Amino acid sequence: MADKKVLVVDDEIHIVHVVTIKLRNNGYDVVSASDGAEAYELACSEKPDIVVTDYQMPVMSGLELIEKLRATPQTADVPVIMLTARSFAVQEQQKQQLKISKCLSKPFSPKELLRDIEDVLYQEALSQQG
Amino acid sequence: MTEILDKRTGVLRLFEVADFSRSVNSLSLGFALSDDKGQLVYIAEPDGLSCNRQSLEKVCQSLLEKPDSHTRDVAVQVDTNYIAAALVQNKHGNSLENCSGIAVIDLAGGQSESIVIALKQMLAQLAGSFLAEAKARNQIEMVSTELSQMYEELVLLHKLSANMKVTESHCNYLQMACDSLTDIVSVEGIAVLVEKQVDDHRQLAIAAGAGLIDIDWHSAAVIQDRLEQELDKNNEALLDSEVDSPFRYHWPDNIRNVIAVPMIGKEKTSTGVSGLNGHNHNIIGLMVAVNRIGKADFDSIDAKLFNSVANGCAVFIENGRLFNDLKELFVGSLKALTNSIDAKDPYTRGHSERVAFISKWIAEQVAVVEGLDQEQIHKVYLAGLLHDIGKMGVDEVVLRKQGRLTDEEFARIKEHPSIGAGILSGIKQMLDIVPGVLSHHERCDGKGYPNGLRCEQIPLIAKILSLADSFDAMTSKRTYREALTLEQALEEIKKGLGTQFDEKIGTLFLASDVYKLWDMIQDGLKDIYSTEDMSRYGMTAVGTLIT
Repeated sequence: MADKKVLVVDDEIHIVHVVTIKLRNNGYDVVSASDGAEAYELACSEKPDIVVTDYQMPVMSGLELIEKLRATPQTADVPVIMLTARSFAVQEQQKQQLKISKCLSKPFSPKELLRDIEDVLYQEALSQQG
Repeated sequence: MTEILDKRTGVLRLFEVADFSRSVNSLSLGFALSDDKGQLVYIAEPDGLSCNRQSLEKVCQSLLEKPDSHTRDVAVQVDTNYIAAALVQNKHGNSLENCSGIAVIDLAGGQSESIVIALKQMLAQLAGSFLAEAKARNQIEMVSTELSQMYEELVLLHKLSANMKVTESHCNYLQMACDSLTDIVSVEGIAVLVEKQVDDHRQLAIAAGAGLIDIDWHSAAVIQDRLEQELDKNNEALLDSEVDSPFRYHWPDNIRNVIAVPMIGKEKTSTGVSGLNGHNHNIIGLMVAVNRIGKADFDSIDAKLFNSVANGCAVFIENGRLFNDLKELFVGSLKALTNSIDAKDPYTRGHSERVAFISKWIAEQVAVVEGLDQEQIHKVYLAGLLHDIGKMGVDEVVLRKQGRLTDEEFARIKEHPSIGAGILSGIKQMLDIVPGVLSHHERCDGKGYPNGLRCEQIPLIAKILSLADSFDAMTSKRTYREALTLEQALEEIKKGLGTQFDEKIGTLFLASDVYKLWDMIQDGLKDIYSTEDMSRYGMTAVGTLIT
């Protein structure tokens, strides 16, 4: 089976590095972007299995990015995990509407993120089977 | 060209290579790149020149296979026809690691010496910029890994402080601390030992742990002693391994390295466990881990993290002890209060505790249909314990009087619920109990005192106390009458349903296993049918008031 591809989006470059290294070391293929617009293009061209995105970013925020992904047929169902320094800003209702699988508040544990990604991908695989 | 030369680097510096090849081509020379296997991945030929691919590949492979590589670190002239340089990711002294490919300039049959020197320099620069980028990438990777570890540590420390609540159970907290710590610092075994009272002395016993570690109290004392020697030298941890030098101490055979950090109590006067040689660090516990995984040995970074976690655990344990002390003080004070009421009136000795016990019993019956939670049952119990506290404000002569009371005397007696409520209302934690104490002599038909409330106006807690109080009074001997039998008392309650007693509560009580209750009362309030320790029940109940 091919490596799962993760799209990591954050304007804080150190977060991108931390997540990228953690995921690469655990056998994931990683592509990254530093704003929502770039991420959207990558999501369409690279077709990642899961998107990990920051909430606040220049050009296009994380929520705008997810809205756009959901509105695009080929990315409408890609699972999304959101990283945020403003966990209070994401309402439960928004989470459900935009199908955000998980919200992790910063500073987050990279291990926990890895576990969450595994969980989400596993759930995804199950639901596709069923 | 678009082939990626080295998958590990991700994106090749294609523009730089393209620029370079153009300038080589402008000299009417050819340029080629190979991957780390010597396979050509890129060839740039100037007009009118066709490079020999086979020779180029041979040059690349010969450079890759050279075991002595000190000549490979800069561009070299392989023969009259080629200059080549290795593109590497890393360089240690003379050896090159992770060669990602070879760059070759085709000299088109030979050039003048000065041109060869200039080309060698150009090629060396290209190789140098590859190395610089590879180094930068390695550094980013190292920093990111380090940062990642720090994030883990930060999250762990957050977690420890976020869970530091007195209501959290001792074992849960320590186990959580252990598990979270070993999630970040991989070890073969970890144990948290906490001092425990055993007979007349205190010793360390395992309270939480994971993996292969088993420490009895004697080994614990040995480790503690060794640790205290380190603490005496102002070291923060006991670290021992045979990585740099032989073990300083003797350990079991399967131990490769050990770390031990103390949990230190705050109180100077506390009787911490003393080790073998009577140090005085007030150690209330130890955290011990063995056999680091992923590193050769525990290092000072591990030691700092272990210390932070151990400190968190120490504060948690001490908080728990202080909270327990507080509860004990509270229960002690309550017992002293109720004993002082009973002391004024010898005929009601033990009455308060019995009413508390019976009230708890009734509350448990009510809970089944009304949805009372455990906390409310605890409050009913405490209200039972304190229901007659107002008798402290009633003249002893009246309380002890044998025979009929005058109207004036009875009026004094009737003041006791209000006096009791007044006493307790000054204590913030008692607010939920006050209504019970105030209204425990109210009756459903409105003929009770002090306020003549009707059924629907009487708080549930007071209705329960009233029934429990009457049941105990009926079944106790008084100066003016013998005690009723259980059957007689039950008959009286049945008669009083809807008038003296709340019909629903009374019916629930009568339908319960009153013979079992009776047995327990005769047996000195021991719940012989359950493992619940009634002597500790007050402590548990009080816990609900002060959290």
